[in-house]
Amino acid sequence: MLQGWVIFIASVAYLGLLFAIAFWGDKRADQGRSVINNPYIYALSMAVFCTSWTFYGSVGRAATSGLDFLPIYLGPTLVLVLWPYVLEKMVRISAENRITSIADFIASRYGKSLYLGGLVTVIAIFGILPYIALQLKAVSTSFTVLIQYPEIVMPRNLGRVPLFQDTAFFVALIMALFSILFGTRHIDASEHHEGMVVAIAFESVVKLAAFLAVGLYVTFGLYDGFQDLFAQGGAVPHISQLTHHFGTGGYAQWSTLMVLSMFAIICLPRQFQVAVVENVNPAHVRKAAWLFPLYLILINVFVLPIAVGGLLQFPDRNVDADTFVLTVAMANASEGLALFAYIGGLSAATGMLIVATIALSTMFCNDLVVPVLLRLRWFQARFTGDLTAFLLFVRRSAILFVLILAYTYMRLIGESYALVTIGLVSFAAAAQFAPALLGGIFWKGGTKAGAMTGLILGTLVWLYTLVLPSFARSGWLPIEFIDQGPFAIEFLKPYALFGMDGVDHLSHSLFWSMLVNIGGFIWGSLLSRPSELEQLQAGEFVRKLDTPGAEPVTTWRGSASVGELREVLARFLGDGRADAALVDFARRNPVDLHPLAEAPPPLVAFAERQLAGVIGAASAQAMVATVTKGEVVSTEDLMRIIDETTQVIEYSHELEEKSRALEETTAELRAANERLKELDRMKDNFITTVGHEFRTPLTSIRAAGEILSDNPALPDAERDRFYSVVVAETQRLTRLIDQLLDLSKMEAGDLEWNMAPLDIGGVIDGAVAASSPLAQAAGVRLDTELSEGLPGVVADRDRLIQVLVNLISNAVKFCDPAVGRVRISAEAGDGVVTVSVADNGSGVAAIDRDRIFERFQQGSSGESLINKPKGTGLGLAICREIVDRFGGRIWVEAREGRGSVFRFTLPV
Amino acid sequence: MAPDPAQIPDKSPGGAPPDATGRAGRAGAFSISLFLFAALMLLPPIVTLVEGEANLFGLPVIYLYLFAIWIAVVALIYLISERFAPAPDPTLVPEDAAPDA
Repeated sequence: MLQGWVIFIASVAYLGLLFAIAFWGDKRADQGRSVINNPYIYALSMAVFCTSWTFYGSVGRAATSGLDFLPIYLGPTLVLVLWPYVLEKMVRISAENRITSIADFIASRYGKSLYLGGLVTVIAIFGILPYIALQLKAVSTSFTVLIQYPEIVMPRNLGRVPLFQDTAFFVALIMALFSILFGTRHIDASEHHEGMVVAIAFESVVKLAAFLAVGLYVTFGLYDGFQDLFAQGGAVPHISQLTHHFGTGGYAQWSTLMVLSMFAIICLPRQFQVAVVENVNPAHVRKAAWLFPLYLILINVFVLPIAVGGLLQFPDRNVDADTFVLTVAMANASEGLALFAYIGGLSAATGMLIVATIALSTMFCNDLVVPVLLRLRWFQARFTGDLTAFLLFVRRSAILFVLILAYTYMRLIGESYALVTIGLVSFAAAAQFAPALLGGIFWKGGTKAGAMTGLILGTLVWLYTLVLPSFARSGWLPIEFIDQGPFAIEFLKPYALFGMDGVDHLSHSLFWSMLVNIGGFIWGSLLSRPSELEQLQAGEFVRKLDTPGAEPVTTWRGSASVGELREVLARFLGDGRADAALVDFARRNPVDLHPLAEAPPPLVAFAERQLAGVIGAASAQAMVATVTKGEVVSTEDLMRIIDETTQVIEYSHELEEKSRALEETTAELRAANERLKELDRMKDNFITTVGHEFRTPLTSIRAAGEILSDNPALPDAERDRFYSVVVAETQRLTRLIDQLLDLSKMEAGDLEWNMAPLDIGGVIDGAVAASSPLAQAAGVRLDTELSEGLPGVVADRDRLIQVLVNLISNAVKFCDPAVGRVRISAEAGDGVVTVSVADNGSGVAAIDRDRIFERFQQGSSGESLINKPKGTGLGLAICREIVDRFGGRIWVEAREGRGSVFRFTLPV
Repeated sequence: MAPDPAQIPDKSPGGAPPDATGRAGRAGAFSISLFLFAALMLLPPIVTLVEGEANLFGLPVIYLYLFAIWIAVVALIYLISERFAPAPDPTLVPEDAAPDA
């Protein structure tokens, strides 16, 4: 059944189906019923990551080296874990800036630099072209192998296929046609290529189904499930070695492959194309973050079983492991499955061919051709009109050019070593974009000079440590270049740079290239000064994480007329689209579209973005600059204004802070001043009061003394009376001074306190005993009432007695003169002992209740006003000082009925 | 005709405020910890522990281990992105998908 014509017709039919699907996709899009506005299609289109290198090569790698094919798919899974930070951010940035490719992205980020875009494009073309060649070779090989059925012959034993019998040549041409048809439908490269994306998603389904079919066939058809397969494989020592160990490269290579594939999933131009440029809705990233890794798991589950099966089927090793996916079915006469596997491999190859070619041709056109042409005066003079047809022509030619170049490369280099390893070499080339790309979206400080330095250094090291030695191994350079280093300089050996030996070539290259790339990027950025436009773009790209959907900063200040802008737009978009764009803008923004009207800055920015989708950010900026008169970019002004504004805001903020602080200080000062005034007044009062208090007894003493000295003949009785007055007043004076000293000592904290646990009942009894002579003299009855089981308190016994005696004597003094009663009681509760001294005197007026505890303040009510004050006016102040010291509280209450109660508490 | 980017509505999932409590906060923290976990489990030195001749259920332990971790990581991405990140507002149909003018 597997004659040549069957295979040919099947291939043509499959490719025809692809065209039909793409056509249908575009048609649906035209009707406004987008097929690709769907996270599942988006995730499937990302599976373009799995090329024929995956389809055939993974099995080959597993059969020769072991498990180290896996990190190439584990790495992307790791990156997608970080989807909110990496992929979604890139998608948002690209949607807003109408990014058309990875070169455009990097150029845009670093100040819309023409040189950077060109550099990235050149690296991408040189890095990816061999990879495209590899796909063509896979198609060619698989066809050649299949057509030998029922024999199994390796292509290397067949000699060269003539050009026009080579399937790869026709596939290349058909793919060129496909890419031209569905990849250059729109002049705006940031538009979605709906048909192409649907076709890619379809291809992803086909290759997965084919691979799973082969896997299931091997595992459950040829063998009795996984256990059986691995048991049989395990019996063969070298197969067992493969299935139980990391690849021959060991851990270093394992880790390197993981890192490399992490970079590849975002840096390969075709991945950037499907995941970022073709993304319809950033929300799709969320679902693709787990769908795409799921796809990778599915397509990898059977790699090892197929490899083991193949090794068991062809024990004499005359069949390339790279063809196991085909040959295992062929060897067992499963013709239909073999054909399906071939179609699966074809779909894996064509998917990559289409997307990579479109991505590269867009970059080639927008980042190499257009910038160069726009700088040529003769071109400017010659092509003044509509350039859309010309641009499409450039892009289509680029597609054809890329594919033919890839095919030529494959024909020329053929079976050489260079082609076999090119998959990973391409990954390593794409990885060189990672520092500029990731650094660009996370680090505001990255500059154009840094990105340039890193890219150039990294690529040179990549070239030196991977590409040149592979040339040497293919025989185009003397092999001594590897063995002895260039010019026999030992430490420059490309596989052991500076003597770093014992690492696999890939890890070695990745280490050195990333070292100089990242180092160059960081140091170049730190040592250079970014232009204003770079700073603006850096802010735009980096802040996307914090403020998704924030409006882009407008960098243009209008000095272009609407007519001129329209003319520039029309040159690159065509008349119809240019007008439609302007009308569309005017519909949302109040703007005068008269050709002579001045274009407001948002319109200029809008026009620039429209152009950016067509010719890339760098060229778009240059083109708009040609019609905005005067200064090209007004960002310098803008930045200055921003700077000044920020400064003013900062200053006024500082001022506010300071004036608030000043107000606070003023308030504090005022309060302090009030307090000082109060204290001053109190001091004056104190002195006045003290003077008054001293004068009263002094006056009495002086009067008595004068009477005694003036009247020597005074009767004895009289004389005695005056003497006793002198003694009493002197005692009073002494007491006053003692108390004054006591109080000031207490206030200054100079007094010694003998704090000890005390039985409060005993203390009260002692105080009552000390006061009873006084009470008896005044005819007052003292009652004591102590609760049972009073807890002990900690206090200074003498001072506590002083308080009690003072309160009792006060009570005695102010008692009802007729039937004086004083009751002393103590009770426990709430963690304190409360001692009360109650009298039945005239009581204390409400307004005096706080005042009487101040120095020299005595009750104003009752007899104390009429009569001479009965005390020094310091007793209660001292009491309060002492009780405070004990940690208690003292106050006075009105007593029910008549009199007042002085209470104080002591903590237990 | 794609819309002026300035006009594209905020299509962040749920349009949550982009502060620390938003999507980047909760789901982001989970994402980063999952990334570190996956990197730890899939890179040396941890993976060296499963290398060897041992089999489990008749399959090489290293093969089982790598796929088990892989499946677990994908399942966790699913949980984080579909459960912790708020669902996008269905009313925000992207205009980009509209056909050419």
